[in-house]
Amino acid sequence: MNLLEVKGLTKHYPTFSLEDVTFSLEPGYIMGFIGKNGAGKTTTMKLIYRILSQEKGDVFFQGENMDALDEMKMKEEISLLLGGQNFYPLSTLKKIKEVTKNFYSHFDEEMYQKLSTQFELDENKKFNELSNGMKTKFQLALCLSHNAKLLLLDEPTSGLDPYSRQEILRLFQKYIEDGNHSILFSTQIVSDLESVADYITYIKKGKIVKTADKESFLAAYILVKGSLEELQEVDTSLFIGLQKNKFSFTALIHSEDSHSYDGLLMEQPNLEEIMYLMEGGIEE
Amino acid sequence: MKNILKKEFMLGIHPACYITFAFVLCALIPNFPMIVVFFYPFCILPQLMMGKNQENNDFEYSTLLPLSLKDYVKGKVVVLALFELTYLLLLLPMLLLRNYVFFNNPSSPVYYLNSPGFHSIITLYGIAFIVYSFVNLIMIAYYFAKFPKYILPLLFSIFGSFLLFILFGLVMSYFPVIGPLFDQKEGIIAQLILLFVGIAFYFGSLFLTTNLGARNLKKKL
Repeated sequence: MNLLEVKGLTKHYPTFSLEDVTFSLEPGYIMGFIGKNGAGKTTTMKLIYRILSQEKGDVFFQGENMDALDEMKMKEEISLLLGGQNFYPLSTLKKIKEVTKNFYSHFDEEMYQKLSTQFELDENKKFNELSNGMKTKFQLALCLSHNAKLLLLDEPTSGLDPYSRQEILRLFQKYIEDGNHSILFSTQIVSDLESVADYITYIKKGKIVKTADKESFLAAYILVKGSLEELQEVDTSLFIGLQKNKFSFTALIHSEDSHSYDGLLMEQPNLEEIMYLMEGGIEE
Repeated sequence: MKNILKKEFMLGIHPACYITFAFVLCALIPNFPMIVVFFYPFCILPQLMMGKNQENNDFEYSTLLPLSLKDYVKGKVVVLALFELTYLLLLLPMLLLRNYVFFNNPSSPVYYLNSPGFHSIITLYGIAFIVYSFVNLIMIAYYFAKFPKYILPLLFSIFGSFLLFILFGLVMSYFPVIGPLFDQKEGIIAQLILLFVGIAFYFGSLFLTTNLGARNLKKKL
């Protein structure tokens, strides 16, 4: 049974629409949720967590429709971390933690203290005295301390130094080790996904482009390279994205279309190349 | 509710809210209209509370907790009510001192001073409860309809409350029967009825405010 199942989530805003978002996540896995800024990652997470109400579609948690679930119970089992949040800037971390922990029946104080030490958080510091990275670490420590089955993390490694990023990613891997917990995290840092994500879901302009395990996701695309003269001779209608410079071009295509480009150089793209070309690439 | 109140008092209250209680001392100022002392809670508290909410990103934090929208709104309503009721409780001894020690006591050095407006504490409290229930309803329910903006709800509720107080004042002052009835010892039964009606309005409005506020907030999201 999937831990999380999102089916046909739809929400319209005046200048943006989330359309038919569908993906699922099994327990014991990490899913990377990638897309350009403004693609709909945060909106999707807010819809899953019921901060926003969807117009169409359903979200299932452990097989049960979230609309029918007790909201309090759901929020004990699912934790959400939103990036760029500034809570109670003049309150100390200790106060915020003391208030937060009372809302959870399974808050693990020992785990929090362990993470607090690991992240070098000074509990007597006020929230606005922390750097952006430390603020994220504090919120992560709170998220990871109440034994939530599902973590929804919006850019959790943003603003962190490389050492801290690796530290957090190792924590994620440890968190799902027992096979009962899962993590859905959105990020712009593709190398994070490459190191820990089991599944990748790509969203573009409010629509899911692809959701698959990491290997299948990467295998679904191919880079085609050639000279500008060769570009004039090939069928470009199958190009998902194209980058040109003075001498050559690089295009992203679906793997199953590779037979149309025999004779051209083909390479396996990495995630960053897929993401870059998926958004259209640029002409130099 | 205990957790929600702990959150509000530990994290959400602007320290100046507590200073509002000092305004009860205005009741001891000679020539100060007693009715004005009741204005301070609804002029000061909601602005401080709502402004602080915005500054703290309180809603964004609260939505991440196992906390329903209705409980979130209920927390705000209960805290506002607690401050208002505490203010009224602290005001009572001041009004008793004013009425029965300073201005009605011939041996008081300020006995000669004219204390303007109403003197019936029961009437004043009855009016205050009615006006506060109106304020809470407009302020909170409308606030969540406009959430997170609060200036319009604040203006409407303050302006409306002043109008209500003025209306009560005019009715009590200019109608030959009503005025003495609600300000003299002979009208004690009418005054007590007004007080109980006011209390009923007040607690009824808290219930209505919570439900309307939660509904408006849900629509806003």
